Amino acid sequence: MDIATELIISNKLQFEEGEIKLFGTSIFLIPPEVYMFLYSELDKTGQTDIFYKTCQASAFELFTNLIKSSHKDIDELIAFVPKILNLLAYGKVSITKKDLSNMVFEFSLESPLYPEIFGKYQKPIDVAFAGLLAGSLSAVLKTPMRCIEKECVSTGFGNCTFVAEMGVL
Amino acid sequence: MFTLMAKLLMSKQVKFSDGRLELMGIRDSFTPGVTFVEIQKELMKSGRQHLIYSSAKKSGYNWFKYMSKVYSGMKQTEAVKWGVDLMSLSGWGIPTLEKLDLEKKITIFNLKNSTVAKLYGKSSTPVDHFFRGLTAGGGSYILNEDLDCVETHCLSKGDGFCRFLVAPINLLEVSSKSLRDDFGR
Repeated sequence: MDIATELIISNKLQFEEGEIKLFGTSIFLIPPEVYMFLYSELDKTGQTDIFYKTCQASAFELFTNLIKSSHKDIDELIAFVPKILNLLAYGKVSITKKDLSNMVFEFSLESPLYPEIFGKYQKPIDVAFAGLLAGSLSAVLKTPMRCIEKECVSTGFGNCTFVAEMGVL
Repeated sequence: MFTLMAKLLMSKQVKFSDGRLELMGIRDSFTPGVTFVEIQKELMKSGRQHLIYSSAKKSGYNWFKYMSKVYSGMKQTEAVKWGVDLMSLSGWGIPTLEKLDLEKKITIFNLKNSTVAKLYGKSSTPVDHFFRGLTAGGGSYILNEDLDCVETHCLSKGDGFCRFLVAPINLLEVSSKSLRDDFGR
């Protein structure tokens, strides 16, 4: 059974008329071209960090709710991060490095949504996804984590890669 | 589960797979509501809510343009009703069509339980700029004229529900401040 079906059956992913909730957190379907337009507009005034901060806060809330309703250990919770973020449909997320003792993690994002729509750009564009990773890991590890996109399909790489470590961006 | 979503999942018009979501053949994604509302609040501080409106208007227009190719031959009235159903899938609240005047190109939508308004909280001005844009864009494509939208009632302002009037801009009573901040004109 895939994770989406599992969560729908367990009522943790709820599709109601006019409302979608994932672990009690409201989520919207937003066409990617809206993100693309807002990103390019906010980039003109150097304000794209708002995507990072707001996504970080949302993911922190979402994973805090998830942790409350589950009895998973730390390794299981870390493994849950890409599974849940896959549901948001920004691309196929996987963990490529997990160093729990130094609190350093790497993630890859295959077939990323925004670069597919956005095309080429002079810098990595997945700040929103970096924020989601930072917020998710901060909730799971119970310590502030920051995340940056090291490589991006929009800047010419095959996949997007993200590095997360302790600290605040 | 919401019946329409169940039907779309069963008929594979909504597909989830490995980080990918397709709604009727178009790639889409979920965004946490709080994220969207916080971005909007930041834009509203500097009177730039028209960016959300414009992007949603463009997106609504493109969506219906694409769908008209997939479902060619659909009548205007059917397309509007179908658009309302689709919007109810997206998590923004429960939309209903209140009035459709094809001759004057005026449409009125109501939105119950607006998720944006609930997350936004109290406001002295209407807050559903994304929904406004979607209805303006969708309406513009379906009625084949550049239409705009004002939110005449809003949950955040203390009204019982949100109401949207879609019409040619010259028929909308819009102040010069609103014209600049809400429409970017």
